[in-house]
Amino acid sequence: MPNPALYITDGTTEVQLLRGPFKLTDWRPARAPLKGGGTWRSSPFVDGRRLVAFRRDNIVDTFSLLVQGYTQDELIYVCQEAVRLLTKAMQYWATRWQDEPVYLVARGHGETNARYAHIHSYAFPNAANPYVTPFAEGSGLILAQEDLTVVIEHGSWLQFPPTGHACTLISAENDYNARTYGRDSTDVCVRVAALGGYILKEDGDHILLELGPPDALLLEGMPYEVYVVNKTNMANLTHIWQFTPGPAWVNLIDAIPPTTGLFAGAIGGGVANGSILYFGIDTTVDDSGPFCSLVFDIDTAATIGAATTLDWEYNNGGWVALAVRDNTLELQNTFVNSVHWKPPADWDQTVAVNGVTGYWIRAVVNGVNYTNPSQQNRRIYTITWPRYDLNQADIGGDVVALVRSTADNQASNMTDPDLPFNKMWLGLRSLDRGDDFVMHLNVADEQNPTGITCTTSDAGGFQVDDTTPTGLQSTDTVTNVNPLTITWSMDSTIMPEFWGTYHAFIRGFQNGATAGDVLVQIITQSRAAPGGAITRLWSSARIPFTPSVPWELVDMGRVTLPPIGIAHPTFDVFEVLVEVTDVVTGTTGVTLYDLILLPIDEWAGSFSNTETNAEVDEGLFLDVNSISDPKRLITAVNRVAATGNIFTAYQVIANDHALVQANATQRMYHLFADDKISYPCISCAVWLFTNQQYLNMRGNR
Amino acid sequence: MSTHQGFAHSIIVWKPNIAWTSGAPNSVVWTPEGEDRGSITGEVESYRHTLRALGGYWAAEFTVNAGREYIEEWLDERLGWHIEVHDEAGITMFEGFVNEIEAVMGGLSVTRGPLLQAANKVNLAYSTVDTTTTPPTVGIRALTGIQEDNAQQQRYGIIEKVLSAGGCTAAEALQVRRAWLADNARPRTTKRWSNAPAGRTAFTVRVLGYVHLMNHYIYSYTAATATENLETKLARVLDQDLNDLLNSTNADITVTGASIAVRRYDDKQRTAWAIAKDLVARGDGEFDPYVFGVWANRRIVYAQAPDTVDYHIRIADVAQKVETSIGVEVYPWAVLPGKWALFTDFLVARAPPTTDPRQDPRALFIEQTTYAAPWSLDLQGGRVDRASQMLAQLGLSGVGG
Repeated sequence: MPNPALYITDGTTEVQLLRGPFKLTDWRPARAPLKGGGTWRSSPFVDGRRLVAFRRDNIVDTFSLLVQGYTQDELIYVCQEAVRLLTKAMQYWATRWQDEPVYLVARGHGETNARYAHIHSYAFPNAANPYVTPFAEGSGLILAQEDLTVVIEHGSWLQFPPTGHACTLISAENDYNARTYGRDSTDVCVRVAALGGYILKEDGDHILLELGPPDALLLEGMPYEVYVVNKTNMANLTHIWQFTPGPAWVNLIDAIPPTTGLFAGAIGGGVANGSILYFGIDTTVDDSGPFCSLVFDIDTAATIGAATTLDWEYNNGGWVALAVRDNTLELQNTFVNSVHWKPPADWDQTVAVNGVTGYWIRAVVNGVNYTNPSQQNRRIYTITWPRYDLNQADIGGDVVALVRSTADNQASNMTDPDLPFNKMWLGLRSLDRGDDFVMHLNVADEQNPTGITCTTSDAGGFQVDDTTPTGLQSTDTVTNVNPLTITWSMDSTIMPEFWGTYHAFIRGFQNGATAGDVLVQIITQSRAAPGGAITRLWSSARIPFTPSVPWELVDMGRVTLPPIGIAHPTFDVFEVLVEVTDVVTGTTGVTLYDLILLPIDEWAGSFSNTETNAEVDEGLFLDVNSISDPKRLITAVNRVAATGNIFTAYQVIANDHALVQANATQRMYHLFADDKISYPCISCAVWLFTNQQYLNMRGNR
Repeated sequence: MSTHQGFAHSIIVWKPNIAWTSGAPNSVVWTPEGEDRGSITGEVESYRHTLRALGGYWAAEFTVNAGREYIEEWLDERLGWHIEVHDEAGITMFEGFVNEIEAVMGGLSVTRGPLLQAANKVNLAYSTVDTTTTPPTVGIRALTGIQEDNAQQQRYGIIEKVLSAGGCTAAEALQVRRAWLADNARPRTTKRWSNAPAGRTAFTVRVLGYVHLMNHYIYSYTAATATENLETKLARVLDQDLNDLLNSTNADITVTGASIAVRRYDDKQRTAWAIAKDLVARGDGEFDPYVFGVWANRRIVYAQAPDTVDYHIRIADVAQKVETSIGVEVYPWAVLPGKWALFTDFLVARAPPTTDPRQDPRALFIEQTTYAAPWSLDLQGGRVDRASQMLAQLGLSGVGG
């Protein structure tokens, strides 16, 4: 049975409250009260009142202690130690220089897990008179005071000591064409722990966590497991052809792991010059389209000798070099690594490889000194989602958990592909609100969730564009009487999954003209039936595009769906429209790519630094953190991946600490931009670290 | 528990970049978002702001309990700094500059500012005195010309003021102007001390919206005498901003009715704000009322006031919510002035049937909103009618009856 514990410590010095000179005689753990009793609203015309907002205050706990020792000096010494430690706790909050937090550690009889709380303040309201007995007794065990009261004001109980946090299991997967792609949460943190994660260590009365420096987990060598990309689409790989000069063709798409190497022949053996791996999406499959990344999990790495390369190519009528950021280093790096590129505008989707027509890229062995790598335990995939998932079984506590969430730019190599970002938005949404919700509604008649139909007002329909997430977009010359209107019609099954509050953005392109000429607006409306009468429900302000900014991210402000004051309504048809109008000159070319709905009602934040060179580019990652510096509500810094050191700080706009819900399956959505430009192929490897919060004891949870 | 617990706002502090160029007169490009000095969200004890239909972001105030070092940092450095307040969606709900900081440090109370009480570019209007006659005769109004304080402009941007004096000689007028500038170019620091000190150390920051700077530059146009459209003149007034904070390219100036002609020639040494108010009061050819405001990113909006209801309020609502006309709650900080609110359970079955809120006694035109965190909202109503526009266009201040 675990030992009970109750002590005050700064991680080095500690004052025990259960044994030694101080012995706890009474403590009735307090709960965090609501600040000001909460914010209530009422009306003299109706019964009752309603809570409209609440925040919790610090917890004030009162400990009754028996104080005893063998000499007066010993008693004075331990009291001094306690006061010095508690004063240090106050200095931590009230000064800038004191940066070691002091905290309570507690665990009840038979309770499995300890809990921790920052100390903010203290008081000794009833210290005894030292000039009378019992303190003044001469010798033997001196019972100095039977009822010393210590009042300690502290924060919420935490899973780990202040600044402590653990890697949390996250995943990112998607189904396409009857296959599952991506990374589940199994063992995601195993290799993080091996790099110095937190290990519970018990040593007699002490419950300590072996705390590595927080940034030690983030040094080079940090394994990548879960990825996000700046788009939502469906199309994933349908074929991976292994080609061997001969010729011989093998489809590896369902070989998990391949029983042979990625190329023909024994794993680790030599690969024939001219061997090729083709990666493709069959355009005859529903919801197919272009792709801009590959994720490998290499078990046995390739080796490359003299005069040999592995070259990445795409087809624009003939096979030509594809500019990539190859984090696999030509498949020489073990474990999970990725390859990224910008989809070329001249990518030929009519090319057939071994009889399969589609979007293809390939890796070609040029030379005779290349050994055969092997894939580890999952399917090679392309990243098509902007979020990671967190399962309710993997995030506990009584209230929201504090979060550190990192995003390591894996796509940009500063030249081509040049995919940095200096703005990132995060938005949290529980999955039980609808797992078919997607953050991006594509301007395409495919690659949107089932139940959503997208149409364009352009008489030419959607246009092929290999640079977009779906391979489609809508372009039109707009005037003040001929707007370009994109309509997403939702049936009654899918629409409830979109109810919520969002920060909305539109990605598009104004081809020339003048600032302020072209305005874009979001409209919501309902229909009595498909094709039936329309009632407009709500419209946003009209926001100007900026001329000649490719992939411009236009900030449309807040959008609430449904736009009526009835909880969970069902319409026959609910429609979201984006309408673009030229209000001044009369004719401007406009292209629309997608409508982005960043969830903000559970938690959201934006992080930016538009100074020159402040982008999160190759070798850098953005670290959003509400754990490591308890004095700060939330910080965001751009760190150097190789050292973990800070490159620059980012501005934070957030509606709370960085947090995730407790005991909820949820998704953390990411949106990236570089100033006004938001390329869809910006991609990051992501990690989540958490410190769970409790209102009282933890038990074994 | 997995309930979202916060409707927190983010308060961001920026040190502005003041790019000053010597000239006759000097010029400044004031970029409020110069250096990001981070968020103070976790430090703020209380927050309130006021928005106006005629003005936009008007004023905000927040209080921070802090130690001496931090208070002194604010007092010493942060007058004129840019403050942005964002709502829970990350959308700007107020922005402005620090106009005044009031600190309590035990027995000592210190107030730095208001910034706009100072001026670093001054002119003096006076009446000339003809001493060749007996007795001397007070003559026509004249101006001394401007005098500028370069150092203060480099720190705070250009704050202009036209002083007024009675009859004096040109030399005396110059002397007065010099003395006034020497005394008033810097923001003042006033102090009060008591030996019965307050038990806390804290400071309160008073922020003004950028529209207030229109009251601190003088509009003048003497190149032509013909008339021009009201919206053209309004754009011209904005483009004369001495600090390049406001301009017509970052403005949405929309006239719905017929444009009206106004006098182009203007040399009355009026402030931009006085002229803007005058122009807004005139409305359009149909005498419709207009609203004017400086909003997020200093974007200026001049548009016809709505003639439909945007908000519904029920006085018997236990939560005292403001909702859209189809029932979506509008959070207190997101309620905007320049819109109509209808009290839907007031004068039930007694109000005349009308779709024009101006004729509906249940409707309130929101002239001003005052929001105090976390949840308090105060709406101040104003009068909206066509007669006011007609009188303004005729140059009349009112009619008796």
